[in-house]
Amino acid sequence: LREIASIRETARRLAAFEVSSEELVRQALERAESLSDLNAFISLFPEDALAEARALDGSRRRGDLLGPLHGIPITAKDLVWSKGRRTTSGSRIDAEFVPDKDAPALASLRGKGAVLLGKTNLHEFAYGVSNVNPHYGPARNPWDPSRISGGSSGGSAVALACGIGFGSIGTDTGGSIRIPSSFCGTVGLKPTYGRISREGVTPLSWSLDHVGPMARSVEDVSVLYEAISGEAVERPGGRENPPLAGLRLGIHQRHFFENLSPEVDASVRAAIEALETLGAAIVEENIPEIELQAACRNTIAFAEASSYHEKNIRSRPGDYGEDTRELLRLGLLIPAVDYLAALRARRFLVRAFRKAFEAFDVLAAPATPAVAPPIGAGSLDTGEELRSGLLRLPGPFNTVGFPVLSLPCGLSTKGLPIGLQLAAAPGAEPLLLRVGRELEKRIRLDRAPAV
Amino acid sequence: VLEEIPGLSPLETDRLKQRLDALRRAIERLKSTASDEEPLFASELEIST
Repeated sequence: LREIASIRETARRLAAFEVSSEELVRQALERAESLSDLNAFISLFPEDALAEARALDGSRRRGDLLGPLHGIPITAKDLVWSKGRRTTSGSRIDAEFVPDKDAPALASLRGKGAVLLGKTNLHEFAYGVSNVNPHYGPARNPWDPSRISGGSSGGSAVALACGIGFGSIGTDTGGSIRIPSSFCGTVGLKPTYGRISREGVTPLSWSLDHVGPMARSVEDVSVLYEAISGEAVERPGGRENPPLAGLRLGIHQRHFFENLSPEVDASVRAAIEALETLGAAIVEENIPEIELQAACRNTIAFAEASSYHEKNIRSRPGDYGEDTRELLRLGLLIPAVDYLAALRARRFLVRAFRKAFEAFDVLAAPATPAVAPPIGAGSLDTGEELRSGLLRLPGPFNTVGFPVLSLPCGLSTKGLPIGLQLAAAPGAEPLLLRVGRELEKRIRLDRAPAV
Repeated sequence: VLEEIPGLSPLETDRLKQRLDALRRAIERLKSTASDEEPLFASELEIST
């Protein structure tokens, strides 16, 4: 993905009138149309996007700029509300839902000049990891269309990997930004819980849901994060030599380095060595309480999701896909006392994670245990069941709400991307983005998908 | 409790029973390890800020 210009470089070219927003939007729409077999999009807005782009080109000529994203085409996962444009949440239930406002996260990007090309495919109601959607088709992996993109923000990652749009807004309840980023060779940030507003985003599990930016590089994710959150991200200043001198890098051998495919293990360890070369010092640390997090997160997610969907799962069960329907029914059967026990257990886990993170600044781990499996496979290369296997590594950081950056760290021998995740204590997004930017200078993928 | 959900096929009932049993075992482990150490009446649910 190296050859596609960054947001900053494209903004410079727009400012120099070397390219127009209308040209960028037209190219992106043509590309989306030509790659429609990948099912990256549920909706495209060609007329609206071109009209917006023309208007933005006009205002640029008059010297009237909305912000750093003026004229930059983007996409959004189709559960992020878009004013006057349908937002299906990947479902039949909401197939005709047209919000009367933009979600604040989307409004921030559009308010700074971004142009919304369309809404991307997702696992139905974001309730799954494969992005095999029974209503809108599977979002296919552009590195090998017979494989899953990962979910639930799969369409966003597919679009980015194909060069369509410069960024996207995704959501992450158990790994839904990081799993597709890992499988598609793109970058995603799950911020600290609550850092980016969840307003105007159809919930899956409100106390685990996170909204975050996705892009082709850490640098582009930084630009989008700044635009959405309003928080300034430090640029590399070259003061330290080596650039990450003093960084304490946590390695959690148990849990995060168990049951990995050999290629994932080797790629992630090579990335960790690259971080050491950049000046990071390794700190080995394990959090014994981590073994509780899956039960805690599942109980909370099942109960909250079924609470949101209770009316429809009882009255219209046939309108849900089979896997979503089963999970929603399961959630109806969780007693209130168990949900409350899980909430209490989460506080216990947050305390354990906070204490562990005092020993290091950033934790490095694989984002997924294996590369993307074929569509329809029930398990990963490692033999782990698909859903639990893919939630195992990203999920703990949803349970405790800590920020995590996912970025590619290599390709398998079959040419499939491998993802690394970097986690930090609450509020440390600027640190994660700085570390990620330094790392991607060393280990960015050297090619794009064949499509 | 499966009677709570009308219209389940025998296969669906069986799958739900299995998943529910697995979840309940996990929740019991969770309760025995973590819950008693936490206050019963938390004043807020925000987890990390």
